[in-house]
Amino acid sequence: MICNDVRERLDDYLAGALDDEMRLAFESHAAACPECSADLGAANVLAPLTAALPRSIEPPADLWSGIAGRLAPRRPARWRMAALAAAAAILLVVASSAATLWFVHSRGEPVPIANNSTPAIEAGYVDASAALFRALDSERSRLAPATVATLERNLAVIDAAIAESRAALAGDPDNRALAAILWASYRQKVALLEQVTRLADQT
Amino acid sequence: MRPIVLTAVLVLAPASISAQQRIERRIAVDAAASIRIFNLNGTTRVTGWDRDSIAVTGSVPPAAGRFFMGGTGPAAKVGVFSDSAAPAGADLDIHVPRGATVWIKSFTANVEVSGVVGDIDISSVTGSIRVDGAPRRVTAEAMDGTIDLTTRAVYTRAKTASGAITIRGGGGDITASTVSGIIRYLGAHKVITGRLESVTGPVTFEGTVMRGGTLEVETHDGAIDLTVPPDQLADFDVTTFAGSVTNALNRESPVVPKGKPVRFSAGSGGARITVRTFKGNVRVGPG
Repeated sequence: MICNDVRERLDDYLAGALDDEMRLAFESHAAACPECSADLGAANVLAPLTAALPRSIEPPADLWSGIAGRLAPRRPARWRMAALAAAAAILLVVASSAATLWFVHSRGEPVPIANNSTPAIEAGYVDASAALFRALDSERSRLAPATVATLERNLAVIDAAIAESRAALAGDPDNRALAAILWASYRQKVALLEQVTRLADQT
Repeated sequence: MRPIVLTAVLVLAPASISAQQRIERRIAVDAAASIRIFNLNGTTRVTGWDRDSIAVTGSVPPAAGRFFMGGTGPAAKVGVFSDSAAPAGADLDIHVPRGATVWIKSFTANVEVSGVVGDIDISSVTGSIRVDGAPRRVTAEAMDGTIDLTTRAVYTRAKTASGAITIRGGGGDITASTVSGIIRYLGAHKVITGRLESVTGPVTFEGTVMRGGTLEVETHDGAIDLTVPPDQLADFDVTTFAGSVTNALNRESPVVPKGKPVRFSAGSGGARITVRTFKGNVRVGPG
């Protein structure tokens, strides 16, 4: 067995799908080859971690106080403050909406798919974006004009997508897939603002 | 006037060329050292080698700033530092221990990394990023710069605003995100957890999702092209609101009306593949 054989069979090995002969050949090669051994080690670490990830995460009741407590004493960089505040805003809204959905669903009642939670989730993203815009405004002079132009061009793209998805969701408020697409655009906006604010902070 | 200018050019040109600082430096570090590299403009080439040392060669013009290299044992810092808002470009060729963890910061500098098996983290703005080899984990982030990763990494993160992202070979845990760039995933290894997302850029996935794994592909109006092996076991959930779905995997519903979600399965107990787009066209087919 050569390295390529090991790489091709790595997933099957981890899934226990190799027969005994193939498994022995795989293990003897991996034991002798540092690169394949490293690949196997990394995959061994990753696979159970990924498999163990929960399908959903229950938000702790003191989520915000925990985050706020950590923000104050450490005086992180401006973009980190903004990013944490933005993340907290989104987490709080999404988590509370998810908790409501889970509670209603667990009682066997019809799940209100998007219409009840949409304004709250959207408010979370809008707050997050606003916090990042504020942080970015104070650092904007550090950014190269080309970076600002790229930022503005891509924000326009995202805002157009958000407007289109919002209009569609307004006409079909129970459509979960439409809501997911809208949240994806908002996530992109927050991530882009985080990226540029971080750049400004590092410049 | 003209002869004077010519004379000045002839006199000054050799001086400016000789003022280019030639770099040839070396320090010893651990085999798994953490190495931070700064070079904002120019080119940065990093190569992993089987020695416990960092060796740097290159050229640094005076307007590029001051070359620095320091650290021993577990950590080192290499780079060109300048107070200028727009420093000139420096070219650095850096050899690092193969198992090092490498962190690289660039602005317009093109970055190339090969032969490193530790973790790699690269940040650029307009410079391109290229990684080859078998790093354990790769994180690459750019604004306009392109990202091209040809690796066997089991953990990959790539993000741009409008730069194109190409990932070849990496499997395991993959996330690629762009606003208006394109994403191409051409995987030789199986994906355990994958997420590819863009707003307007098209997304291409050619690969296999591991049994029990998940793949999510999401765009607003970027087209999505999904090619999986004919024997891929998976539950597919495909939605486009204003685009079309061409399903070449499942003969029962080859073309699906716009706005209707398509759910179909290939085998049982396989992966979960979710595709969502607002108005992009979707094609799902066998490789």
